[in-house]
Amino acid sequence: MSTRVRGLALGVIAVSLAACGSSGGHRAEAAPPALGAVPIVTEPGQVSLPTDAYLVTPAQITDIIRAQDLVTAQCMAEYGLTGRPTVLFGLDEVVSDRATRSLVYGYFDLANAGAKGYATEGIQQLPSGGDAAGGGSDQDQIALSGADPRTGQAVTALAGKPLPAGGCQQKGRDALGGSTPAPSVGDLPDGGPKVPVTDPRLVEAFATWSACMKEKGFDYKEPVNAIGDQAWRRSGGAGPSQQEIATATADVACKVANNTVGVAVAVQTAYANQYIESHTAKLTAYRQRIDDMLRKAAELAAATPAKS
Amino acid sequence: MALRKRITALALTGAAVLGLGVAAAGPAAAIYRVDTSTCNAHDDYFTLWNYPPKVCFADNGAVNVAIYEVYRVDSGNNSGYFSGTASGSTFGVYFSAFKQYGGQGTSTVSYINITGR
Repeated sequence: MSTRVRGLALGVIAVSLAACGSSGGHRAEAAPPALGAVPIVTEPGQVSLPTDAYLVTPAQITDIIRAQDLVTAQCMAEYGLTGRPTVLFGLDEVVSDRATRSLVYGYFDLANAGAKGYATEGIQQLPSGGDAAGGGSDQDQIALSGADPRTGQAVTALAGKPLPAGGCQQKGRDALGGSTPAPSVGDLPDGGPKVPVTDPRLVEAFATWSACMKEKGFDYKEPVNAIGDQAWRRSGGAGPSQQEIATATADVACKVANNTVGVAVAVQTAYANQYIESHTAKLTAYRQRIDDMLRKAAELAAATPAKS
Repeated sequence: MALRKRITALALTGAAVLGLGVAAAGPAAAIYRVDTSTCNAHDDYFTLWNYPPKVCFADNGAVNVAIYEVYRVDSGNNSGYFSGTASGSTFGVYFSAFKQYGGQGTSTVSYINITGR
């Protein structure tokens, strides 16, 4: 376990450092940005970052996906098939998870730690098909994905008509302007601000948190090691162990006691401000892309008769 | 029969992922499938479980795939969106880091967009 956790930590560091090298010339050895006021953060609702204003909202995403569905259904109809609206899962949870499941400060879900531990369960059951392939007829699959489920190869024609690359789903996405957006900071240009875990303010805050955890009997160097512990991965609908609940409870308690999240938010804010300043044009283009998608979505919805 | 079909699905997975990877527009479209041995040695990738071995993806970006009989998804240290089909209907799942999705039944995953943190 420790090797895996260490590997994860190293991975995060590596990703952060690599990202620093690719986002506007910010070098790992450069002086870290100055902090503003450090907020006292005792609950997830107090977490806010300057990049939040740039993120697409769940309602906007829903509008975009509904419009993609319309185009996908029109495409399916060309092959005599019926397209159905996408059933969406996890959209609101992803937004709340921004504050409670951070790759910087780890877990901060005070409401769930005592009952659900690290609350690793997403949706309990993926939508399931009645057949072994789990997804409707071969014709449906081919039309939706542009791939033959029996060979895995691209299909370029169906029912005697050319099939778009990537199938009707891709045609739906293309009609709206490309990849489906997500309400997370990583969706922003260049993957959003990079916050190196080597930042000295984080190093100090995490050392304090780690010492607190040690006093409670838990040995983790950084918060992300605790939430990422393989021991919390469960299967078959099993609930959290007492060990998981005890660890998660200690984890959030140590963060509240030491204002770990407050320091992390201050550090993230500093890097976010730096990022926004250096990405003005890209952020404007990103916002324009989202606005264009929403405009197209509205046009498609208006042009499509509502079904009763 | 189930085992045979699952193994078939696994073969399809490799072919589909390698042969049909169509990255969507955007500068961050650097997502790639991680080879099996690397996948098995890490726990921070976006991982789909169908029948052994699992299928892992790393880095940000969007890709069309055709991965059958997926019964569980581990997000690793990633967030983003994946979609697929079940019973001829389409579903989409927004996922957060360090979470597991599924556990019962199987689905076909046809699109993955990893957006990072």
